Amino acid sequence: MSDVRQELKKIIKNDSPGVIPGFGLLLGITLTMLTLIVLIPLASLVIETAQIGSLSDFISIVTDKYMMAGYGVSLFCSFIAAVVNTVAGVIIAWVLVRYDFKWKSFLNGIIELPFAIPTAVAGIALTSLYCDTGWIGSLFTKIGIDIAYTKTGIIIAMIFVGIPFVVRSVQPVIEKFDVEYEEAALSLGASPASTFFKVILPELFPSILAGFGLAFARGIGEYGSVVFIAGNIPLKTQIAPLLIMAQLQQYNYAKATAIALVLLVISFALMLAINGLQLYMQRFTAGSDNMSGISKKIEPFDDTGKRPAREHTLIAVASLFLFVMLIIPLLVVATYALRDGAAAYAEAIFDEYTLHALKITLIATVFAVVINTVFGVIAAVLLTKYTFPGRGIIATLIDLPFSISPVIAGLIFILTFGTIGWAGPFFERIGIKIVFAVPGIVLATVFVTFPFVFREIFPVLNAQGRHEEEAAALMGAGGFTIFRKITFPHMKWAFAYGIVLCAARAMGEFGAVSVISGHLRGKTNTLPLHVEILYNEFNTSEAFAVSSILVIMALIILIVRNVLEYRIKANEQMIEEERLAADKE
Amino acid sequence: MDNKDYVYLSHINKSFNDFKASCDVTFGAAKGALTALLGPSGSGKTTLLRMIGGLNHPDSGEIIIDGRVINALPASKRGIGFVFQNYALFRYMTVEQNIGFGLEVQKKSKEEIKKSVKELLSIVSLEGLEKRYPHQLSGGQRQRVAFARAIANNPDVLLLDEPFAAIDAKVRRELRSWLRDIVKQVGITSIFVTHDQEEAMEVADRIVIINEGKIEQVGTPEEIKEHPATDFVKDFIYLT
Ligand SMILES: Nc1ncnc2c1ncn2[C@@H]1O[C@H](COP(=O)(O)OP(=O)(O)O)[C@@H](O)[C@H]1O
Ligand SMILES: [Mg+2]
Repeated sequence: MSDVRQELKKIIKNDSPGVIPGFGLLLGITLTMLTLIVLIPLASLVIETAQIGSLSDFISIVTDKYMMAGYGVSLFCSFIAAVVNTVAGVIIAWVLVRYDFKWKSFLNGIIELPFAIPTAVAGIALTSLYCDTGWIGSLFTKIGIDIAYTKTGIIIAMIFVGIPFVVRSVQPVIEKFDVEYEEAALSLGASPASTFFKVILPELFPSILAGFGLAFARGIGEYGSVVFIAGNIPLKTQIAPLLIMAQLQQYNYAKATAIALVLLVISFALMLAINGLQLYMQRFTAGSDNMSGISKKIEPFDDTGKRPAREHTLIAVASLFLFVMLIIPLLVVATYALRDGAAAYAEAIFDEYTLHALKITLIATVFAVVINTVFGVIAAVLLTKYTFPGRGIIATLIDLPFSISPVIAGLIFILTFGTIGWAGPFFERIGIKIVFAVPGIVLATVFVTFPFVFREIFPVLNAQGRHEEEAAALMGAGGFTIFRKITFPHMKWAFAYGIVLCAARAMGEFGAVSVISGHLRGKTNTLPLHVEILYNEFNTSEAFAVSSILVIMALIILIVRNVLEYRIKANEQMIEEERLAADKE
Repeated sequence: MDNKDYVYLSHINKSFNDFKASCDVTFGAAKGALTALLGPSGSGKTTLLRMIGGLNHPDSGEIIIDGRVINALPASKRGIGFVFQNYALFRYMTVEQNIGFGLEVQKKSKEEIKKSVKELLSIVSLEGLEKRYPHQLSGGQRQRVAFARAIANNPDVLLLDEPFAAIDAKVRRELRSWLRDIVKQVGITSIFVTHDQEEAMEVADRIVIINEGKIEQVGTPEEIKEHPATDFVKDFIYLT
């Protein structure tokens, strides 16, 4: 989003695309894929809305009291969840950067768990945990508080999915934060608390805002983790994406589309507002480069070596929050999966439908990873190694699927390829079934994971600049040779990292796939959908057994992610040291 | 220890991991005078200054101010003004808020803060700029804001780290005499760090020459010029 656009501005301005060969081909591929996968399906949304006819019809659909209640629930709950995540996220980021304690790298390693765990799995785990017989829910029931099937439950699910956003946007800023600001405040007599609130917080504000915005937007669009715990009581706990789903199940495409459009406008408005605020904040930092890049530690003022009480408190708060929100739900999955014994567990996993769902999940994941990796690399090379007008627009369009609710992502493919879709009859005539079939699942999965590889590679290539490629081109190297010998070695860790994130998201995608799959057991079910069916049929143990496969895959992905992150950091540090050494000479 | 020494460092040692940044450093700074810590880059000047200010802590040795050992006193309680090399002005605060910060955290009344800020602005001749943000100021103006902020709480000691390094050469000369005049006018015991021997000679009453964490010589500019104590001092004074 905004960071990509700012990075683009940093690229050296040139008149022509530059001397590196391959520009036309890369531009062609990027635009074609962008159009086919993102723009055309999104356009269907507008086409379908246009068919509603009159504006007053549209308004009466989207302002219906059930709809208004739905937007209200979505906005209210995701706002509260984003606020909670902001407070917790700043504390966690602070503790992870500033303090040393034994289980620190463990905490740092599990932050992305909500990205790796499929939302449906999170949904059933949280529901089982907070319902009136659950580990935590039963405690609250005793004191007369219900969590599951109330707004509180929705908020908890939204907190779960939003945890990584604030932590990961604030953490690098604290890492680079120049301790001289704090020292200046201390030497002026400020207490640690007033130093934090008056001096540090304003510096962190832009990144806090960015994380808040992402968490908020994610909450508004979230479907999989929320539907189970929400209970979906009309006017009370029905979230907006669920309203879209409900309309779809009654084949009310026009209504579904109208609600989707409103939801889209809300999230875009939100992202625009936050980008605007960030730009406004940047004027304070313009021209002054106070971020030293060297992270020093504030020395404690006495030699006793004892940790001040507030450090203990903050470490405890951060650890407890992550334990309750992330670890306990995992323990729920493990416990419930094995509740009926190992034999039942094995039976659930080797069930014919489970294996078939696993196969479909793998197919969709492989397609998503391959397509988006090819696209991500091509688009990132195009936007960083050549100069041409419209690069900012392309970067923004690539990011679009990020801020679109998965339910809407599924909907746009129905509107394009379904029986009512404008391209539907054509594919029907040539005998290809897309909607309610595997190709639709693949398309929806590709769509929701579209920006993942691109977003990881882009900043790395951008930081590297293009002098090496230009030198090679002047020596007569061809486009592919330049890529293989020069560009790729720079981006290989980011490349692997992007693939891992893409795979994690593809394998767990629920909302989009749920809309487009048709739920045909043994035909179009992915693993997350299979989990939902089992759970709704009250086969709880089987649902958790199947979930445990996804959890194990998520944990593997998380471990790989942490290893890669370590490699990327080591690599960055090496480059930085080389640069410093070169500067000295 | 000289009776006139208001700030006194006694046998200070400080290491970062295996690296010895200060090695048995002993010197004093007289009340109301300007003392320069002079030495090449990386010689450990900033580290000494930070230890006086309470931002780093010596492994051994004593830091004495006005006859009192202050090693265990936190930076926020030392009553020492610090001007950082890059000024470390708070970017999200106006000039006025920056200068008034120290008074504000001491819970002074609004009127009192307003009055002091006004006075300070006239001392550093920045009247009319109180509503500006740091990014709207020139390098020299920023330095004066940093100076005003550091003396706002009426500290007994002022520490300045390379106060002119970030300022372009033309303005630097002008600022040197400005700093000297104003420190004398306020009458504050000041220690400043520099790697520029010309600057030290021109501004300081007394110079402490440091190399690789050790003191090479302490004396007035004239003493050092006329009787350099070591080969290092001779080279440093005459070759740079
Ligand atoms: N916090 C620190 N951690 C590790 N090394 C440090 C730290 N601060 C300073 N040093 C090292 O101590 C030496 C002296 O630094 P410094 O006092 O800043 O020198 P000067 O101000 O004379 O240039 C340098 O080599 C520097 O790298
Ligand atoms: Mg220094």
